[in-house]
Amino acid sequence: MLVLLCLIAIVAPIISPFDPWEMYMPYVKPNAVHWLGTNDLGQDIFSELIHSCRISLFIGIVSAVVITVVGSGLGMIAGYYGGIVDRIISVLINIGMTIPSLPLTIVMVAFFKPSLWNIILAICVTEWTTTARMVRSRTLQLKKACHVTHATLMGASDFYIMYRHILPNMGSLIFAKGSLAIASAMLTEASLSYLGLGSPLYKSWGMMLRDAFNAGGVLNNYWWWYVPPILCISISVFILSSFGHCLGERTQNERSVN
Amino acid sequence: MKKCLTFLIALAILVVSGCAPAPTEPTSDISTATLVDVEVLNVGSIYEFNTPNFTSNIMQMLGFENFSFVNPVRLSSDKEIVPSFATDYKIAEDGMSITFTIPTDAKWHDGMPVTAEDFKFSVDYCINTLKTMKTYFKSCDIIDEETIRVNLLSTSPIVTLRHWTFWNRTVLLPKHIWENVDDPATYSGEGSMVGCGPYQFDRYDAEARILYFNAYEDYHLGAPTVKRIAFKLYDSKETVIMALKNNDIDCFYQYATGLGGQYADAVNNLDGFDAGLVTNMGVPMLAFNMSENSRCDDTVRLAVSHALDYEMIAATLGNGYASVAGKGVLNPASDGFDDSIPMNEQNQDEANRILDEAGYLDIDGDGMREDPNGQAFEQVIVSQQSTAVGTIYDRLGQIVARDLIAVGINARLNEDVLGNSEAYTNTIKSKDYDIHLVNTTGGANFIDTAFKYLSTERTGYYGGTLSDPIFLALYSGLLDSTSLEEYMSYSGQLQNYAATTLPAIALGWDQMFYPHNTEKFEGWVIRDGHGPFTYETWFSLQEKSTT
Repeated sequence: MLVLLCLIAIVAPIISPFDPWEMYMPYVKPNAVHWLGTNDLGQDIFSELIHSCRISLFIGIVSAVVITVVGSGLGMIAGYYGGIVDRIISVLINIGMTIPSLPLTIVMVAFFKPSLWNIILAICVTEWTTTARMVRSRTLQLKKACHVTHATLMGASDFYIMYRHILPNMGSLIFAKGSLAIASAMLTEASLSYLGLGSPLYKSWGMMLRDAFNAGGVLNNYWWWYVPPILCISISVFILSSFGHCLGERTQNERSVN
Repeated sequence: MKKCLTFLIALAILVVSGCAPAPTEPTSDISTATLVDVEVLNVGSIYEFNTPNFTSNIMQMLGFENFSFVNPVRLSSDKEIVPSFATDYKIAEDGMSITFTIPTDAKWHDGMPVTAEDFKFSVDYCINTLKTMKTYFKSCDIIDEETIRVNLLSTSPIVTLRHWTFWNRTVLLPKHIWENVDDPATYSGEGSMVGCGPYQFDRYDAEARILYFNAYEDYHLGAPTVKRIAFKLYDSKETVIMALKNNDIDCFYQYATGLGGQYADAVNNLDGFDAGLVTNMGVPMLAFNMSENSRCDDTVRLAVSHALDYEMIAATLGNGYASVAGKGVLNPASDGFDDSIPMNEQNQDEANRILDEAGYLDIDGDGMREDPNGQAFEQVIVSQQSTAVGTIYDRLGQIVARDLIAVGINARLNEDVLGNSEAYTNTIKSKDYDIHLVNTTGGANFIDTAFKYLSTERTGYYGGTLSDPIFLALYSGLLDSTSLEEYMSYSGQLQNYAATTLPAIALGWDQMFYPHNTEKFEGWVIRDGHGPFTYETWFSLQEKSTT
C-alpha cells in the first residue's frame, strides 16, 4: 500500500484525468467525465485528489527526513558525549517537549506567510524532540556495548564510532520513528491547511478539505468533495503508522535477542 | 493485513454513517394553531459585543435597524426613507437644511423623557466627539420643543438622509448620560446601553455569547409583538448554518452579507425554514489601482475587461444565484440604474489585440507580456479579507489571475494578505497592488453608490484611488443632490463614466439567503437586500401555538 501511495504521487500527472488547476463548470456533481465532480472553481476533484497526494507526501517525507536527521544527530551526540553537551541538548529537548506542538506550529506558520516551506519548517521545529530523546537513550545503551568499548580502546575517532558502530544498530528504531514522523507531519499539514494556514497555490488533502468547508461542500453535504480527502489522509496515516509500529516491534525483538 | 482490512471496513462504516441524514423529528400539527406574541426570538449572527454601548460591533449594525438606539429616519420594507424617531421631516428649498418634527411622549430606556435637547446633543456629539458625518453636518438648532433643524455643510439632504437610515454612529443618545463621556468607544458605565428604540438591553452572557434584549413596553410607538430577542453570536457563517440545522436559531441577521449561493443546497433544505432569498444590494467589484504611478493604464483596464470569464465568475460567486453584471457596475436595484449600458462580455481575442497594439508584447518568449518599454510587467491581485465575506474573493482572485494569464498578463494573487485582515488593510492603504477584489456593501451602494470605494475625496473609505476631476465632479454632484431625480441623474452619469473609463468592473450581481423559521412563526416582513430581521417584523411577527 505504501508503495502504491508513492507510485500515485510519482505518476500523478500521467494518471490524473485532468490538470487539477484547469477550471470547468463549478459545483458539478459526480458523472462519467468528472468522477468526483468539480469544486467551486470548476476544478476536477478526482485530479485534485491525485495531485494532492504528491504535496501531502512531499511535506510528510521532507519533514520526516529533516526531523530524523536533526533528531538522530542531536540525540546521538547527547548520548555519546554525555556531560555538559548532554545536559544542554536534554534541556532543549525538554523545553521542546513541554511546548504543545500544534499551537506552536500554528503560531509559527501564522507569523511567517503561509507557504509549503514554512509549513515544513514549522513541523520540523516542533517534531524533532521525540526522535532525539529515543536516539539518545539508545545511544546511552549502545556506548557501553563491548564492540564500542573495543573500538574506543583501539583509538577509533568519535565520529567513526558513532557512524560505524552506533548508528547501524539503531537503523530499525530510526526508520520506525521516521515513518511515524511522516504520518505525524501529514496530519499536521492537513490540520494547518484546514485552519487556513496553507497556501492556495498548492493542492493538498488538507487544502481540499478547507475548500470544501469554505465553499459549502460540507454544509451542502457534497460528500464526494470532502470524504475522499478524509479517506486518503486516514488511510495514508494508518499505513505509515502501521509500518512504523512494525519496525518498532522488530527493534524490540532485536534488543530482546541481543 | 487482517487488521488493515478491519480498520478500512470500520472507517468506511464511520464515514457512511456520518454522511447519512440525521433523523427528522415529526412536525407538529399546526392545523389548529392560534397566533400569539413571540416570547423569545433566537437570532444568529457573527458580530461581536465587544463594548456595552452603541459603538460595539453588533450595536452599530443594529443601529441600521433602529433596534435599541434609533435614528430620526429609517428604511422601510419598500426601501423608502420614512420617519423613525421623528414623526416628520422636511427638506429646505435651498437643500441646506432638514427640519424634523419629534414626538413629545418618547422615553429613554431609563424612564427619562427624550427631548429636543437630546436631539441637538446627539448631532453635536456626532460633529465634535464621534467625528462622523463631518462632511455633512454643520450645526443643529432647536426651533421649539417639537421642531429641530439640522444645518448642512453643502446641499446634500438626499445623501444625508440616506446616511441617517444606515449610518450607525448618528443614533440619538441621552444627553444626561453621554454629555461627560469623551471616549465613547470604551464607555461601559451606567446607562451605556440606554437608547429609546423598541428594544431594551437586558444582559450579555459572555460565556454562552448570547445577548438578550426585551421589548420596551413604554416605546412611544407601541410595544413590539416579539417580547424578547436573544442574539446568539457565532464565529462564522458555517456555524450559523449548523445552528439553523439544529433549530438553535430562528433567523439569521447580518448586515449586507447574507449567506451566499455556495450554501444554497444547505439553506434550501432546512426543515421548517424559508430560505429568504434577497438581492445583494452591494456589488462584488474588481477595482483597479488608479493612483498616479499605476500600472493599470487605459489599455490594461480595457484588456482586462475583455479577458475575464464572467460566466465562470458568476457561477463561482453564486452557485446559480448570480448573473453576469453590466459595465456600469451598479446593480438593477440601485436608484438611477441605467439599463442601456451593455453587459460585461468575455472576448480574449480582443484583449490580445488591444495589448498587442499598445506594445505589450512577449519579448523574452516566456509566454508573459512585457510593458511597452520592454520591462517586466505584472498585475498583483489583492482580495478582501474579512469574516463576513469569507474566502470567496480569494477564489474569485484565482479565476481573475487565470484569465489574465490566458492573455499573457503575468497576474498573481497576493499571498501575504490571505487570511490576514490587518495585512490586507495595510496593503490597500499603502496602495501596493494593481487589482483589488472588494465587496461594496448594500448600505454604501444605497447611500453614495459603489463609486464611494473608488473616490479619493469626500468618502470615509481608505482605499479610494480615483482622482480624475471628471469623476470627482460627478461624484460630488451625486453627494450634493437636492432631489432624488438629481441623485438618479448623477448615478446614471457615473455608471456611464464607469462603462467607458473602466476604473472598476462588477464581477456579478448576486443574491443572498436569510433563512427564517416559518414553521414556528408567521408575519415576517422581508426587506430586499437585508432579510427578515426588520423593524416591521418586530411588530408583526407572531408565534404559532397549538393550545
